[in-house]
Amino acid sequence: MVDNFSAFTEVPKDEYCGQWVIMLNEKVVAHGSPKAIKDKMKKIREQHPNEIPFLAKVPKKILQIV
Amino acid sequence: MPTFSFGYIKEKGISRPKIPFLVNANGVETETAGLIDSGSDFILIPKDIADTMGIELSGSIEEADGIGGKIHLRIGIVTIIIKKRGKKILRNVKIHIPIDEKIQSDENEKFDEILLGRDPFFKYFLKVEFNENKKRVRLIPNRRTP
Repeated sequence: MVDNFSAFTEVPKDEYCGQWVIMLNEKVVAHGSPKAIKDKMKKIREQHPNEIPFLAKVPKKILQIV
Repeated sequence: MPTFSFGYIKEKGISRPKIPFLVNANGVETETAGLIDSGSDFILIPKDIADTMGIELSGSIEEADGIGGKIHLRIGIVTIIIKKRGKKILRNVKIHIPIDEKIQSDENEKFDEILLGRDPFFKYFLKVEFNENKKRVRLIPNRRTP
């Protein structure tokens, strides 16, 4: 069974630091800013209509105040 | 009722109570992860991310105070599904989406995170338990919540 969330926790943080990533089958298939990711997601949904993409942000190494 | 227990995820040396869930917005499904935030009054999703998830921005507008001052938020409704080892909880929830232009730039990270705040997320659970020593969060669903 595909577990994109577990795979997300293992993505190289330095490579995707501060970016949003889209994952399919436990692999990063796109990444970028929130604005950039919109078009990429549209294409991914068209190309993989039977899969549910995983979308989340890789944070920067800073303490957060939210 | 089943309980849901999640380990904090470690993000560059800092452990946070971030959990996976599925968003269904008008039939468009996206898996994602959100930070459980007892200090936030509501569920917040950044505007560009809400667009990417297919969430319609047609609800009413509310005003709120944040760390950066007053902001305007559009209300949306989505279904969220939390799954863990065969257990599942499904709820229709109200979400808030910041819409001010000044907070939409790619460099602005104040609202660049999905927050699972108290209303309504916490209301669906009898208990939301943070165990900082074990770095785990446990969600115990409320039977009486529809």
